[in-house]
Order: sequence, then structure tokens, then C-alpha cells
Amino acid sequence: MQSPRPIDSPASVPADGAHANPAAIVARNLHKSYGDQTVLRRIGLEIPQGQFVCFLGASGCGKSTLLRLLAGLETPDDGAAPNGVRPAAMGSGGVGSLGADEPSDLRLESPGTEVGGPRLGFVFQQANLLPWRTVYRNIELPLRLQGVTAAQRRAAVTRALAQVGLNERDGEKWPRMLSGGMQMRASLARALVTAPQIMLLDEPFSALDEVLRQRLGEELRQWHQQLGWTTVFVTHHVSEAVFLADRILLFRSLAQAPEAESLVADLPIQFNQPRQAELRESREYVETVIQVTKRLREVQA
Amino acid sequence: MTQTARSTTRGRVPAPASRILAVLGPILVLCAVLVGWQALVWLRDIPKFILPGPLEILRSVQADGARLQAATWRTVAEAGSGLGVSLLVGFLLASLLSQAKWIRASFMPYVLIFQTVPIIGVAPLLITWFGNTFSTVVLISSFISIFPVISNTTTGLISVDAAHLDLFRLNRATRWQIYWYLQVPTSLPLFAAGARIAAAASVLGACVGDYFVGSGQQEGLGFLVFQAKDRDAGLMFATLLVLTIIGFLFFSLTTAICRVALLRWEDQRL
Repeated sequence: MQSPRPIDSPASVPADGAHANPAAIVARNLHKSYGDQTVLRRIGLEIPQGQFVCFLGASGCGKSTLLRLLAGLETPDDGAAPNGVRPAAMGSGGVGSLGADEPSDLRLESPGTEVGGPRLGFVFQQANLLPWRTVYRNIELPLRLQGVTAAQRRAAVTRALAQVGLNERDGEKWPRMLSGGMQMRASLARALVTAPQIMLLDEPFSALDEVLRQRLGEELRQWHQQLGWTTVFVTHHVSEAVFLADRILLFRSLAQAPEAESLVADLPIQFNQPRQAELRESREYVETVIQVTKRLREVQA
Repeated sequence: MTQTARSTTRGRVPAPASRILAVLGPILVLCAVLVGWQALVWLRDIPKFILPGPLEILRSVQADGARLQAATWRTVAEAGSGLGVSLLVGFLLASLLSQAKWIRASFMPYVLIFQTVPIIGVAPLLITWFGNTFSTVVLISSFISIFPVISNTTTGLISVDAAHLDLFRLNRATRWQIYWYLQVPTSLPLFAAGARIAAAASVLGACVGDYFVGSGQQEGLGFLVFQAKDRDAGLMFATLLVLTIIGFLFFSLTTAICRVALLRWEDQRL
């Protein structure tokens, strides 16, 4: 899959209709199964550049799996991988019954994208820091793996530390010496040190307390805007999704619905005020949370 | 006394009283054993070729001090070199084994069989092949101590955390980068555990080697034990004591080096 194919109609049309920005992520007719168990069915989505999208759904609905497909950590059933990085040779078992479908496609794009696709940032559910590297050297790792020079690494790590609110002395510590919240900040710094264009986050704040989770959410939303990311955030917290997202994609578990599609709703989220702490106290926010929750209950019923 | 500074960095610092006890207790036990031992020898009038008392052992050490010292250095050098060889070669072999499942499947049975070969039977063969030399004893010492290094390190190298591996795959790390930045550090705690076992085993191996090589060039402690057995029981006991101390020091030193050099990041419960 060297040259990208033209996209006719993604199965799920973006919520805000004729958006101005070109697509950053395009997925069409993706399936993923492990053995007999189908985790994702007929995923189609198009995410324009600069959008903040939340994948929302119960545990086991495949939202994390889709995120990992986008990151290239998993391969869809017919082998399509982001920008054709991997050859289409894996897992032919799952799609047999759906063979008549249109071919699947998965592409990540960005303006001025160089060979190999846009730069990705990925934040894991746990901080996932390497315990044998200091915080500084953890954040530096992606640059080191990419062969960036020492001086450039130094500058980028210093910037990333400041961005997430850690100081130089925190950088010298071992990960085990940091609190859970600070470990997550270090993990965020590691994801943004490469100046990503697309940021993928897999329930990053789920192990943190509510106050910290809210604060990090507020900061994340700011970074998203400042740094011009296209952001995909996986969560099972409705309030978190409503606060963060421009658009929420609702997922359903396929366990009870063997023939259904995984993506069940595409909800635009818009507020008349900025995404700051005060938003949480507003009427429109609370009402949106209630509506989305209702929708989620319907989906899971 | 930097007690306050220390207790802030670590919560498990024992109180001063219990620290004194940790040193004083074993010393008191040792004194009691020595006194009891000497008393037993005197009271029961045990012949010294059966059980020499501590004073008799001390006398032998004074009489044969130079010989004991020379043998000690030789055995320390043999065991040290043997340990060095098994750590280095063991780590390299483990690195090869960790590269692919088929390599492990093909070679691991032979590594296991190698481990079960009785060294006592092989040692004379090695001497026939390589002569009565220092190197042969080093070979025997590493032969006996390499297995825990290979098996522990291999396990360590392949027990990489899946999320850590994802991180490397996301950054399109090369195979070499994954090995160097991920597998090697992951393996270090297990390598350190293997190294500690190997440290004690290397002294045993050097002792066995000494015994078979004899006084070809210069005798080691293993040969001295054998020599002194019938002639000077005091010297034999002294030699055994020195061997025990060397084994203990090797073990402790390896543990300490591993802690300081390899595992600074850990909670250090090694």
C-alpha cells in the first residue's frame, strides 16, 4: 500500500459536517479480532486536524484496541496498518465472513508530513516509565532512539519538563521517587518531547484521584490547543470525555451484539465558554454530561 | 551521625540499638562457639588429628602462615578469574539465547545437560587437555559457576514488560536498541542474583581445580586441604576457614557491587 487510496465515504461521517481542516486520521472498515472473539467491527472514522476526540465506552468495547491500531501497535485483521508501514500479511482469520466488504484502510496524515507519517505521541494507562532511567533520561529516550543529537535532546527535554510542570531537580530523580501524578506528568513529557502532531492517550489519568485528574485534563486541553495537536483520548469517564472532547465517539461491546458495529454514535460537543475549570460548574456542561450518560446507558442496555 | 538525613531517604533504617546488636550478636555467638569448642577438646582430651581446638588452629596458622597466604592468593585469583569468565561468557551466551525462540529451543537442552555433567569427573579430563596450569583451574571454576548466570540472565532478557516494549515499538527502535536500552536493564536484577550464586560457586570450582591440579606450579587452597589432611589437622582446619571466608567475601562483594553499580534504581531488597 504505497500510494494512499482516495476516500469515498467513511462509514461514519464527522459530526461537525463540512469541517475546514483536512483529515489527520482516516480509518475505513477496520476489523480486529483475537481468535474467535471480534473486538472491533466495521470501524470507519475521519478525524480532522486539530480536533480533540474521545473514545468513550465500557471496558472491553475495543476503544483501547482501536487506539493501538492507530498507533501501529496492533494490526487490523486484514493487515492494513497506518500508512502501510507493515506488510499486509497478518491475521487472515477474522474477516472471512465479511469478505465481501469494501477494503479496509487506515491512514494518518499531517501537513508537511515526511516519510513515515506524522509524528505520534502515545500516553499509556500507567506512567510506564523505565525504572532504571532517571526521569530526565526517560523523557529523553524517544529522542535517543531516533538518533537526535545530545544538544537537541537537552533542549527538548528541558522544554518538555517545563511544559508539564516539572523542574530540573525532578528530572534527576528515579521514577519510584515520584508520586503517581508526577509520574504521569513525566510520562506526558516523554510523549510530547518529540513534538508530536497526533497525540494518542489510553486512559492516562484513570489511576489518579479526581482532583488531579481534573487538573491534568485542564492542562491537557490547553496543550492540545497551544501545540496544535490532533488528539485521541480513550476514557470510560463521561464527565472527563465531555470536558475534553470536541467530539465523542461511543463504542459498544460486541460480546452481546455479535453482528453489530463497534461505533454507535458520533456526538459533537460544543460549549460557549473555554475549557477551563469553571466550565465544570456550568449548566450546559452538566446537561451534556447527563445526555451523554443517558446515551451510553442506552448503548449498553 | 547522619541519622536524620538517612531516615528521610529510606524508611527502613534500623534504630542505633538494633544496628549495634546486628554487629555484636554474631561476634558473641562466634566467641561462645570458640570457647565451647576449645573446652570440648580439653575436657574430652580429643586427639588433635581428629579435632584440633581453635588454639591449635591458630598455632598452625602462625607456623605455616606464608604457605597459607600464598595458597590463598592463588585460589582468590583463580576463583576471581573464573567468576569473571562466567559472568562475561554467561552474559554473552544468554544474549544469544534471548534473540529467538528457536535458538533457545535448540540449545537450552544442552545448556541443561552441561550443567548436570559432574565436574569431579570432568576436571581430570580438562587437566589432560590443558595441563596443570592456572588457566585450567580458572576453566574448572567458570565451568561450575556459569550455569546460574546463563539461566538467570536469559530469563531476565526475555521477561521484558509488554508496555515497555510498546514504548520502543512506538519509537521504531531497532533490534539492537531494544536489546541495549530495554532487555539488558530488564535482565540486570536476575543477572545480579545469578552472579551472587556464581560467586560462591566459583570458589568451590577453584578449590576443586586446585585439588586436581595439585602443586604443578604453585599450590592453591584446595590442594593444601588435601595435603594437610593427614599431617597437620590444624592447618587443614585453618585452610577450610580461609576458604569459607573467601566464599563469603566473594558473595558479599558481588552483592555489594551489584547494588551499587547495577541496581541503583531498585528498592534494593536484593
